[in-house]
Amino acid sequence: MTSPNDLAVEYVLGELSPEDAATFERRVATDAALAEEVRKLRATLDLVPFATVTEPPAHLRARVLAAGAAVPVPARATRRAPRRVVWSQFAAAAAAMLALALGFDTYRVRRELGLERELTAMLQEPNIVRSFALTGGGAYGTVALDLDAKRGAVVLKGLRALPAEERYRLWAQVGDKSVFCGEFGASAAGTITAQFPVPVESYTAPIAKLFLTRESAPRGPEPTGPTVMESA
Amino acid sequence: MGRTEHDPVPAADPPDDVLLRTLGTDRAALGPLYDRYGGLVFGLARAILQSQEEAEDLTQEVFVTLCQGTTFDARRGSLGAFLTTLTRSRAIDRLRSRGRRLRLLRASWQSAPPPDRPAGPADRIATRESSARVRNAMAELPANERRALEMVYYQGLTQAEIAATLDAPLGTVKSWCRRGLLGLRDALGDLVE
Repeated sequence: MTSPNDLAVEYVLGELSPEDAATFERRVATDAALAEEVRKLRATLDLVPFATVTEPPAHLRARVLAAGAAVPVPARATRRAPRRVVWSQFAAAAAAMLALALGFDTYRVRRELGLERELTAMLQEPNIVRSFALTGGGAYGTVALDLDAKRGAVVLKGLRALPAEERYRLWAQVGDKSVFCGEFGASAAGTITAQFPVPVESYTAPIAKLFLTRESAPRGPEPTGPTVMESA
Repeated sequence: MGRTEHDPVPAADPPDDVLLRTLGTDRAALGPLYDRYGGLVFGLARAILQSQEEAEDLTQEVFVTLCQGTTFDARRGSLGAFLTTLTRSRAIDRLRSRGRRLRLLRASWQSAPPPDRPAGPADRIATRESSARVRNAMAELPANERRALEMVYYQGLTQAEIAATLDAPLGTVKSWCRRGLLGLRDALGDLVE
């Protein structure tokens, strides 16, 4: 039988299957010493790139600064304003952000690489997007809303496959009401990958959060089933 | 090469979060950020991509991403860690998309190349100190353990893929990875406290 500390190494190195990783995470949640061991191992792995710090070639500084200067400064930057991001770049940043939120570990970086590829494959053109990282009950993923083109994309993983009479529904909380975004079934592997139209006219206030519910009733104006994932 | 002796480092540069906020409206803030993290991003990109040219391209891409407005949140971790994660994620993706095969890796992969020059004074924050410590600690590891860890980190390979690449038993590779990581943790204990 593998010892907890060996499992911690395997976990940090991204070697556990999603099921074993989830089991291990539950154990970590109740074992402070093991949690500390995981934290230290992860912090150790995070130090590895420091071994490669290298003085960049002299010409690179001017080139990077020129490329940065060419990025237009938004006319008015407010905290909630949509940002102009190229999809592929957005996806990488979203992936990195997810990894950050979840603790930089190899296991998740590997998962996020997959998310990035899938999001990039779905939506290629530059545009204005807002992104939301969703988590809940071991499931994770990203929803991107393109408010210009009035469409969204969703990649969620680790969900339970539902019986035929049930569906997942994605909602945006806007002010005190919920705006329906889309209805999806998860694949046998527990994945939702889809695009959906975004009814911009329904967004009468900033989006407070996105959340996913499990529903068996016909669709009404508000969710009736339990929330299984939500954005931070 | 961000600064020279003619361009001394000011006594107190603004912290990362202030520079990042400024960057949203004034691209001049990119200079100090590049001076802080250019060596970390470029070095990591080059270690993964094994190409000076591609590492330069990726370094530019990462800093341009900062200008485009990221979802970086200082409360969740350091900017260095964010940039490392972003660089690694994109570099490994590039590596895969260019179709490098494990067979080729087996033939060409030795070890992450040592830097041409050690990090210069431009790489400040804790980067400079951490860099020397981590480099020494990696160098102290037995070669197999170091190589296994580098393949995990720089290539994003699983232990099974490493075993196939090196034609070594999986159990042996697992043992290298475990001992290597634990050895690093012991050597760098104070940095991970």
